[in-house]
Amino acid sequence: MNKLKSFLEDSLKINIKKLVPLSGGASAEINKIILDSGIEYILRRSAFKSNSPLAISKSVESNIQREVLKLGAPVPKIIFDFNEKNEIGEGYVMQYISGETIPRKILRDKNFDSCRNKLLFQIGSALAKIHSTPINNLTDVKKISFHDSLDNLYKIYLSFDKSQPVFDLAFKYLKKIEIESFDNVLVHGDFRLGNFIISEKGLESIIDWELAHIGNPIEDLAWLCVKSWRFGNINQRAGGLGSVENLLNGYNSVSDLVINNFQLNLWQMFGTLKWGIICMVQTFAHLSGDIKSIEKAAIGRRVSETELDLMEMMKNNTF
Amino acid sequence: MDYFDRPNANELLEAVSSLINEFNINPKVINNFKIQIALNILNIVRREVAQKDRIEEKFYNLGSIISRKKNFLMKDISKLIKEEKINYKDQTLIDFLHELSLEKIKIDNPKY
Repeated sequence: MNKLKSFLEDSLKINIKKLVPLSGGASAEINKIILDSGIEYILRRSAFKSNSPLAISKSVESNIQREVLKLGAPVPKIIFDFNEKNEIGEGYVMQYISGETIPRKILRDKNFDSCRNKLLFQIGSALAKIHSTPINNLTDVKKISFHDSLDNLYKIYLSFDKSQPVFDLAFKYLKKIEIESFDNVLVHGDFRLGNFIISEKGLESIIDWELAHIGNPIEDLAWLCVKSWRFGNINQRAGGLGSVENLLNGYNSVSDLVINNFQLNLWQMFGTLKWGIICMVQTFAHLSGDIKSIEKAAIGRRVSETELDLMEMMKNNTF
Repeated sequence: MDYFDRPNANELLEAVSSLINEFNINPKVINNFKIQIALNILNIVRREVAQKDRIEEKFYNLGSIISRKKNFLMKDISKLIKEEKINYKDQTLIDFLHELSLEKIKIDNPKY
């Protein structure tokens, strides 16, 4: 930690009062940097042991944030990035944005009562701005089609040698359907509560770009609708906050893209399957001994949530 | 029978036992969040032990018909789906998997 602190002080040319570890993502170690002056920054760097086969590099993440910010979408400003050939590794320092990220607090605490009804509109319009990012400036961001994603997920699923007939059925179903193609856009890849910083005034920032790629715009809209991201408010399809119509009102205040409900359903099904496979990735990292953690052990038994959601979609057309 | 997901009941108990060992070495690394997860895990195991036999019995006949095997495993059903020896729109299969999903969620997260 001392070496990291010295490195950051040299780079920022200012004294650091404290480095506070925050809970990290699957591929990132996150620290809050508190300067002597009281100014705060966030440090994100590659995790020593990453267990996210889908994550992009930190340099690509920071480049994306720079491009998105140019369009006025709410993302933290990048202060500097680095790629050191020692234990400091690769990462970046960005602006600290104050607010709440914990979904259950945003959905239930009284503090957010006044902003909650306008959140979906803000989230929808911010997403449309993200999707309008010129992709010719993002040459290092991978283009991933629906069928590429599906094949990739299938390979990951097979690698565990644990049969989940519901997943097999969903893979077959999705492989045989036709996905409407749109112009490729920058897809956030993990667009949901938990990755939004919300204050009492509304949406402040969108964070955690480690799953970003170039692809179909409906992927982000549908990911927000996956039942696990409604955090108990299951009847509020768009992120537990409200209706898809509210979300699309915000989206279409910036973009003229016409979203077909059938396609949204298909992408929601894909998103549910993807979350189920991510649960397996996490739990098998624990079972293999790579990262021993009670949280990762427990998440394996959330696969059944995604199975039930998939079966409700396939049997009862319930989304 | 392999209806339930990984970690299986033994592996779940192992994870709780590791947490308790960790606590004995350094109590500071354990917080309320981890204790809540450990309690949730113990409740999953408790429900699984109580319900396992009933669930196995409930799905034995239909599972045997679908898998075309008497003592079938879930991998037998997966294989038939993968190889398209059962159609993915087969209503019996869909009903079987839907009902099984409902039973599994009652074990893993009854509030879901």
